[in-house]
Amino acid sequence: MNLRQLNKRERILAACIIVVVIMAGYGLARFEPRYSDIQMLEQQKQATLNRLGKMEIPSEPTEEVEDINEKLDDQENAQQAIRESAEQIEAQLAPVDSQELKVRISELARDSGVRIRVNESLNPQPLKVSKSSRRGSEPEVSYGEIIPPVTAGWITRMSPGSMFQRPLQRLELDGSYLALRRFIHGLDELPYLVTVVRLNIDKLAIAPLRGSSQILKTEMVLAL
Amino acid sequence: MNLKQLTDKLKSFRATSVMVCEWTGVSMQAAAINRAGKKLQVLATASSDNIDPTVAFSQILSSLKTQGWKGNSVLVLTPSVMSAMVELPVSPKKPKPVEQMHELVRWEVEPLLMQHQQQWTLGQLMESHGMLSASQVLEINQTQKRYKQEGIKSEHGTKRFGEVALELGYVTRDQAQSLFVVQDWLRGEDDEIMCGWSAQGEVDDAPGVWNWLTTATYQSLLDKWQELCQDYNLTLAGLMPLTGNSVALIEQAEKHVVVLETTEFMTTSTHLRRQQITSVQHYANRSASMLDSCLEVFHAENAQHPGLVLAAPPDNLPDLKRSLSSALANEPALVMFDQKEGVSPGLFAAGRLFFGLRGSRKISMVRPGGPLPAPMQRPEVQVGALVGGLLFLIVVTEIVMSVQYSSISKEKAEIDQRAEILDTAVARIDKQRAEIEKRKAELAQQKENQRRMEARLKFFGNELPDRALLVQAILGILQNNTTEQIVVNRIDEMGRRVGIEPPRTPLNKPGVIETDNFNIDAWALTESAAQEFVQNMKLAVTAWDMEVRDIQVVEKTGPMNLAGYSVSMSLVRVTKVSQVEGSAS
Repeated sequence: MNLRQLNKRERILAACIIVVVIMAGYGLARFEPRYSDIQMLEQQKQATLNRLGKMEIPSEPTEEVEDINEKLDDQENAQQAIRESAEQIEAQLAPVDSQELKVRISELARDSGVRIRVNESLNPQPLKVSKSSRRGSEPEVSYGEIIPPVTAGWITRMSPGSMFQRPLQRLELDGSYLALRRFIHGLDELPYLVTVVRLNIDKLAIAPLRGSSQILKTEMVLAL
Repeated sequence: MNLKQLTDKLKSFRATSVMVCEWTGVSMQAAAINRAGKKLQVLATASSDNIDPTVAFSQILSSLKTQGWKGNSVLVLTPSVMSAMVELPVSPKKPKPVEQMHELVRWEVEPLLMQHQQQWTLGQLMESHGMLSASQVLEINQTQKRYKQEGIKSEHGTKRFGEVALELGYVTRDQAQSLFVVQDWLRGEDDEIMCGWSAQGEVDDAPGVWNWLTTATYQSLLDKWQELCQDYNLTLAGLMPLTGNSVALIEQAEKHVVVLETTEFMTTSTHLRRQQITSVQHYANRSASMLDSCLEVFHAENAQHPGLVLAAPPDNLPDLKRSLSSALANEPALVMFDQKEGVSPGLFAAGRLFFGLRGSRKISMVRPGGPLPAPMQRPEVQVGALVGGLLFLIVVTEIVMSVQYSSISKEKAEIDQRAEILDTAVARIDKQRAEIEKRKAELAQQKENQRRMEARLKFFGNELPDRALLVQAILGILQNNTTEQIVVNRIDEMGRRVGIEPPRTPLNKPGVIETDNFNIDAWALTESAAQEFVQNMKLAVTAWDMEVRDIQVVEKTGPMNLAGYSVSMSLVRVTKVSQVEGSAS
């Protein structure tokens, strides 16, 4: 069949078919993949631009690591000096459950003229600290070495969980005022640091015999 | 594929070589012509004197192929094709559709073609081939008339020219038979007329009417040549008149030029004015010489002092020019075409028309299947335009996409580079900050450790010994301030008491901290002794940063039911908050 034999309608139809076939072939085989590549590149570019737009650039730190290291070294030196002082102080504290110290206290009482009626360990409640938490929920409780405030009282400050925890010994004594003073002063002479952290003195209702001293009932708590 | 290869490939679709046959009715000449740029190159020539055109064509083709011609297209110049000038009310700028134009031309040329065909009688052919002289032809015609008057008839009716010539013994039967073959290739049957045309100038005295140089022949003749070419697997490009084509060789002419083109069979004069053909005259040579024919058509042209151009077969041209110049007494300026590589000017001009070279549009040919429509009406051009348009669209799309891709790639590369620089900087700063934070945390941890150690040191080194001293001091102060009128009943550290009256001092003063609190209950014999005791206590504890608070002196029975006063007070040790915080930090 010759092209000249086609009438106008057939030529238009053939032209349409040629256009559709060529454009479809080109579109599927070439245009679409290429266009997709361009779209993908554009999206990647926009994504990077958006990321850059939202990027928060942190400011350069004003401090230098070397300065902080120097401070750390200074701190370490200072701490070392404190540690040496602390070691001297720690040496004055009796070992935990030191029976020797208790014996010495008993001997001091005897020598001072006071009679020990009760000599027992005092075990106060351990300290606990509450950390701030979410509103409405139960506070979280943790146990650890804390530094109680000065107003908490001596026994509380030296309770378990405190950084100043020490064994506490509760004594009930009977003796005259002078004997009691001798006993308290005698505590300074002990090899370890013993401190009266609570003191209650009551006069007995019974009047003393003429010429003898009034007997006092004393309750005290010693920090060993 | 580079541009040159692409050009070569495109060229391969176009014919670059053509065989142009010039059949004069007596002999046949041919040339294989190649196109070399804007010029033509004659590759090979051949000729045959065989009177039968089929035999002559075969011989010529064989000769050309032997000489290396490998073309496919054939163009034939034959006397059977007529050319004539017709006036049509059709402007070349607004051409009619091909079918309509064909009808118009056919209407005009049909009588001319019939007239043209009637020239090819047996007598004319015999005279042209030199078998008869003009007087013999006249004698035969007279004899024919006499036979007609006397009622002498042959078996077929009135005696024909050939029969009379045979009877008179002027020709042999074989000679007559051979001329029948020639006549068969010259005279077509009265069937459909095929035309070709080329636009010329506007007619001077008729505005809106244009001269059209037309060529025409019968379909049957066209089919003959086409079948002959197909026998040799060739394609017939078209038929052209034997003479009158050489006008296409004139690229630049004077104002008026008459082109005389002659062969041994026909002579044509073409009047050219301002590059446009205005008239065409044909003359069958019969027994007349080329010179006589030229003179005949020149004088018939009736042009006043035109320029004269002579075109003739190369072998005859020098003599013809000389004798024609002599005959015309050099009245017009006579020029002749340059030697065209041994071929006749008409043949060369046909080659120019085939390749569409400059000036060739003045003449036309009769194509098989009819004239070519306007370029945009041709299916192959339409297909080419469609495909070209699509390719152009695709190329534009490709360029746009390429530019877009390149542009986006470049922008993306720049942005990526910027992002990489920023990411690197942020990572570096983050790393520095993390390192600093880590060091600061270590520092804070060390400070906290130090603070705790200092607190422990202060507690066990200062506060506890101070406490021991304070207890001793309180006992000492009480001992020193207790007189005979004072009895201390109780000392305790059971916290601050609530008295009968509200405390005069607030429980917690702003800016101070109460650390130790000794409650003292005593009994005084007199109120003054009680007040003196209080006063002495106040003075004594001041040295220990203590205050005497909640003092109550109330009348109360004492030991042994003695009347006296109960004295109660609290010894409170106060410390400024700033001191505590300073020591803590």
